[in-house]
Amino acid sequence: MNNKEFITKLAKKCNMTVAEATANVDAFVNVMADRLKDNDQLNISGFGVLEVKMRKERLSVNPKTGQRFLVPPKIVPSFRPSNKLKDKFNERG
Amino acid sequence: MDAKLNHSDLSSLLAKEAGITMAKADSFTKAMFDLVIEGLEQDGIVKINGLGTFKLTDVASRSSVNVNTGEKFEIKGHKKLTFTPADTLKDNVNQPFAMFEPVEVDETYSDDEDVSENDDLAVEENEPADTASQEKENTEVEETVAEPKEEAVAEVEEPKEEDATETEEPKEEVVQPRPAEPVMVHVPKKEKKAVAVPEKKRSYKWLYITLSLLLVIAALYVLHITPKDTAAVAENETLVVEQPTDAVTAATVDATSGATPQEQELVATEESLEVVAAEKEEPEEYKFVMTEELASLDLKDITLADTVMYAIGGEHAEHKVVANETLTRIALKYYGDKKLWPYIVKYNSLARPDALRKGMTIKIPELRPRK
Repeated sequence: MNNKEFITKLAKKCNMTVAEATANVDAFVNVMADRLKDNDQLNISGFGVLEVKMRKERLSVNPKTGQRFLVPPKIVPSFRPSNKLKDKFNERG
Repeated sequence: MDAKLNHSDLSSLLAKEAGITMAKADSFTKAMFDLVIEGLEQDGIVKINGLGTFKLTDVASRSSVNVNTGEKFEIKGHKKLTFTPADTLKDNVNQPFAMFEPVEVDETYSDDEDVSENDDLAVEENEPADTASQEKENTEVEETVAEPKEEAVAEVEEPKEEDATETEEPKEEVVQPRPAEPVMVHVPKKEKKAVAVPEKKRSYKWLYITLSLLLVIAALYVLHITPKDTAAVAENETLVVEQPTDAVTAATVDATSGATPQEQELVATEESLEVVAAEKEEPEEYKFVMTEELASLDLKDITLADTVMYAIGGEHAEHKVVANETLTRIALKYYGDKKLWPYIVKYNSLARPDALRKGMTIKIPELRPRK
């Protein structure tokens, strides 16, 4: 399901126009991004947790050339599905 | 900051952002997450622009071993939900570190850079004490010619003195080579410290360690052993008087003009005596210094929290940048830790860390450790 399909279905589900749904999804994505940027943790019950994690700097080696790089530290967004959701997908095999 | 937000918090934020009622926002977000689950069940993949992609992947079954019993069992194949953040979200979240790029490093670099740093500090701590002790030594020894551990002149002298001591007391010759070697090492170090080539840091690490050890030993020696020394000098004097070897005196006169042969002789024996004393002391001192260094290392490790462990809490001070100042230096000055400079960058929203200019006024944020 790509973004377009997602928004059309969402619009139908919520009884709003596609334009409205797009605006709302954009707004919500912005809200979530802002929260994540402030290191907040987003707990969505029945779905999972969206949070950010710190990756430390590390040395990596290019196996072909043997060059060594110091990869800088970074902050990455991550998602942990809730147990409920995990079970849901595995019930059917 | 660091808050845990639940569904309704998000809904109210959305209501504000999109200008819709709370109830509507709540049902909307619920519908959205439900639809994501629905879409995953249907297609196994859901893409949302600006957020990322949720995807179900199959994990094949594999055999594993129970760590307690050693029994083999099979982990059944299952589905795993993965989330790949969109580039925009990634960049957005990573903004504090956005200016970093991978840097190629050469082989001399290693993770224990901190260790050599500490050694650096150790050397600096020792140095003032050492110069002071040297002054003392100078006054106590009746001469100014031979400060054996520093001067090139002394180095020239040394082989000849060795000869002298050899003829007198063969035992001491065994001791001699060791102190002679650090003297040689000492000279290049002084020059190179000014240059401070970063890539060679590692190779200097050992140099620093040996040097700091030597300095500590010298300082301790002066503090504790000099009383003994005066007695020893008295002994030596009689020795020297008894042995007026012509060859030796001639040699020493050659080496240093100005001092009388008698005095030279005295210095020579005295020096070797110093060496013996220092050598005797060494094993104990060595251990002591090592543990001290280790202790300070441990402490450092504890206090040097990772950069992510701090939260910015208001302004701490203002700082006017002077010539040749870097962010790391400023961080070191205010926090005692140069690793914390990214916080200064973030707080001042500098475009690039090298945008620092002389005369600029930057704000220093207050940092609080995060739990």
